[in-house]
Amino acid sequence: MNRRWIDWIYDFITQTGIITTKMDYNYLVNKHIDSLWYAALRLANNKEDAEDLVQETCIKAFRKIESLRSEGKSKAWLIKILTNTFINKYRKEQTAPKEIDVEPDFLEPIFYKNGQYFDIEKELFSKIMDNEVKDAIDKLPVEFRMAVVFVDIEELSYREAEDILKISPGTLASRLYRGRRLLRDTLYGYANQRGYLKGEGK
Amino acid sequence: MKCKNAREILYMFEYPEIVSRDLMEAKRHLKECRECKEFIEGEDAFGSILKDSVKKEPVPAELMDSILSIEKREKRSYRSLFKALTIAASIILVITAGYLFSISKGDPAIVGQIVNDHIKLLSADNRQIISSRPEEIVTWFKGKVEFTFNVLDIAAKLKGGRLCIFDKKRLALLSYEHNGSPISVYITDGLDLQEIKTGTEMVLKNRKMILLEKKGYNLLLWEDKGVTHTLVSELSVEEITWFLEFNATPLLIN
Repeated sequence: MNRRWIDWIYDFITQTGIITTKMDYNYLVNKHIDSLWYAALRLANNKEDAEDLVQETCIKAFRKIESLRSEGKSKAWLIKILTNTFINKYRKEQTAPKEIDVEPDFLEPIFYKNGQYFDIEKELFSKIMDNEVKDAIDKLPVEFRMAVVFVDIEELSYREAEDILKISPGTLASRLYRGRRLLRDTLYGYANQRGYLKGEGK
Repeated sequence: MKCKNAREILYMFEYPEIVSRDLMEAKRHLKECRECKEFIEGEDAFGSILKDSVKKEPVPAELMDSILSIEKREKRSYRSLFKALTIAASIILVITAGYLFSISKGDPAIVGQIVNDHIKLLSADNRQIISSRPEEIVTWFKGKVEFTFNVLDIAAKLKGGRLCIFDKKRLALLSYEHNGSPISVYITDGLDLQEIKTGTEMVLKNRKMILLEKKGYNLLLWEDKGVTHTLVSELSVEEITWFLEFNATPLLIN
């Protein structure tokens, strides 16, 4: 009987459901920590800030876990907390880069080579090192970076990405379109430097 | 539909539930236009290739440990918060209990109402029966109060009476005057002397009485035949006791 009465009352209240945590925090964190860590690294651009970002996100997630109603939405929910934390931090430190959304023409294909693009360019990308892809993503302006990371890497739906970024479908499409092309150009630059484009030409 | 418009629409609308005329037209355009088909397929393919080429770096073990210990830490802090709240609640409970105890040590509310009523009487004479004849006053109170009480014939001039109702309790008020100072005697069966927590006890004419001081007025309370008399006056204790001891035989009404 080392435990004090206060512990007994607390346990009684929590175990009887007077205070409940709807989702299992540890389960959700284990399930999505890779996505959170990757997104944090890409947003913060350095390991220390990313660690702080993930820590802060997880604390907020634990405290707000009762607001999460569906496990299916847990990934988008966690990334939304991460993004909000990131944006708030940037706003506080006033270092957030400002990007102007320009309406694209949607005429430029993502691959330089039409027709047989898939095999050739897939091979090209497979030659590019993982670190170079990360670098290329990190070089994107933050608004484009978030759109590409959330939709292409984390495979969130457009609707989830719009909700997280609080932007319209048109703005998301514009950022995704421009982000992908900037990314492609950087990756082609790396490929060119390494001589992967010999004989391919642009 | 132009290629630019079709691509823009198809780029923006991934939602299967959205069926608009523009979207249907754009999809029709996509079936007919090889370039647009390749454009959209290229977008999807680029996304897939990008995803496949990314290898997610492992989460640092220290960070992982720290994140997984959040639950324990937060529960501990919740426990501390709970403890603090429990202590605060206990303090509030003690204060409330103390307050209630202190209230219970005070006098019944009716005592305060009696004093207030006497003060009102000083500024406005609101007697319902104006008479110096005890018999007339006795007759007037018949049927108005349900208890039996004595009309004291004291060494002060009887001036009349009034029926008072405080919190549904009926009281008979007898008004007297002594040397120009009004004296009110409130009689009720709704006040138990045991409830009086303050004041000093005294014995007058072999009767236990309680002397109180409220708002600058002296109150003298005693019980007689199951009803409580409360005399209120600005007179001094000595004056009050003098004319009480000088009283004649009381009249009884019922």
